[in-house]
Amino acid sequence: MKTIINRIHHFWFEEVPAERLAILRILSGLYAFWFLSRNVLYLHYIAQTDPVLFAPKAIIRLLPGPLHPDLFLGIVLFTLVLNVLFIIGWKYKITGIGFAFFLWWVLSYRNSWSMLYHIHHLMILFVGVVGIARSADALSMDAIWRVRKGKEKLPGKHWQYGWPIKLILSITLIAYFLAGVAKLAGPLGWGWMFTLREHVAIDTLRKVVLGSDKASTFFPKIYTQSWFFIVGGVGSFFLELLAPLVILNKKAGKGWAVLTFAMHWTIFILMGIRFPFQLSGIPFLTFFEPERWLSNLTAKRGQKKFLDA
Amino acid sequence: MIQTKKAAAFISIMLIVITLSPVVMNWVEDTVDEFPFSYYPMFSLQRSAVYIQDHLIGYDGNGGQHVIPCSYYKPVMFNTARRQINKYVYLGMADTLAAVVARNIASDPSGEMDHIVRVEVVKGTFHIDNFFRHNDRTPLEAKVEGSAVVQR
Repeated sequence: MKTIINRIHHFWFEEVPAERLAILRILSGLYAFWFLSRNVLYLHYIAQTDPVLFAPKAIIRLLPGPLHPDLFLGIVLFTLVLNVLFIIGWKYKITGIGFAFFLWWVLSYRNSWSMLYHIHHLMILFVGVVGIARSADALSMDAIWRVRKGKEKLPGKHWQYGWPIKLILSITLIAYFLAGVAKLAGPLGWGWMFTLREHVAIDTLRKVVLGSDKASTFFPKIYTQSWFFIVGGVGSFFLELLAPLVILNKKAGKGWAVLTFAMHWTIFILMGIRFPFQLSGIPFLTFFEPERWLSNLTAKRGQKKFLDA
Repeated sequence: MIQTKKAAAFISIMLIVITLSPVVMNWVEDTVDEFPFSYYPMFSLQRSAVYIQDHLIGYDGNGGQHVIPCSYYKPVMFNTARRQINKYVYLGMADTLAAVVARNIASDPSGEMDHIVRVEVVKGTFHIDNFFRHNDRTPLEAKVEGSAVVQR
């Protein structure tokens, strides 16, 4: 028993460089900024919706009713300011958790108008974990400030940077597992894997009938290729149901991350269904060592400069 | 900010349990889907050979039918517009919805819908295989739920 606990402890509190968590902070912050900033007008429009369509979700249930649209717009803009501070890592003890909270609040409000978007769940959990962890000990204004003041040296490897990554990774795997269980628990059971085409067809039909320019033009062309959808259905089913198991092996985890990332891009290209956060690849970075890519890149640049000189 | 291993372990276990907990919704009758903790109910829906969708149809002066993009209801994200259109029909407020769309068409500066004189909110039943295999986009059944004249 002790051995198992020790193993779990060693796995969960693995010492990793501060840069790894910092990179996840910067990238998830940049993604959130991209999403929020390009949707400011949309969010304002949604807040102007007929109050009869207001169906509060999560923390928004605490409100007595819809907010004035301009007040909501003000909260969105304030969240964007916090978002910038989150990215640059300034006063992170406050801005980290503050941004995570306001992002959750804003997206909960957005989801309170008769449509709950499932594309933001992973991003919110990701930002939430990064927000409560010591994610600004490197590559941040706080870190620059501390080093300049001579308060601290640059941080090395520490368990403080490992557990949040393991937690995000676990939550990511659980989210996929839940999607697999939902398919299995539905009326189709294992038969779901043979009905992928019908699910995509409904999504495309809705877009065509409602005149959306997001409707896939490719899907109708491959509609008769049943084998393609069976392969896709079986593949996605097993990627989801087996997701929790890949936590046991680093190589399996990396393989799963690459396959799942590829699955999202295939779904997007062929079927026009987009999960933007997953398409960005950010949730899958927790399976890798992105700080190595960064140091390789800077080393190559340094080498090039040296050779040029 | 989390400073000790005990606190980190506590937060980790709590969050994992909470993220996993919606799984029970798959086996209960009164389901609630939440944000950001979901059981992803869209994957467990029963699909049949036909699909019913509320949508917007415009008529020109000659009686010709045209698809009115849902952005003429509200320039929000597609699924928000779709669900809100469904909800208007569900609440028996399709005439209100048609009036909103007609007003937006009349005030559209692009002029793309200048030929539209009347708007209908239609509940259409589509045969999925016909729709894609034979490109037959005519609904098997179309019920007009509400309508409005475009007043310019």
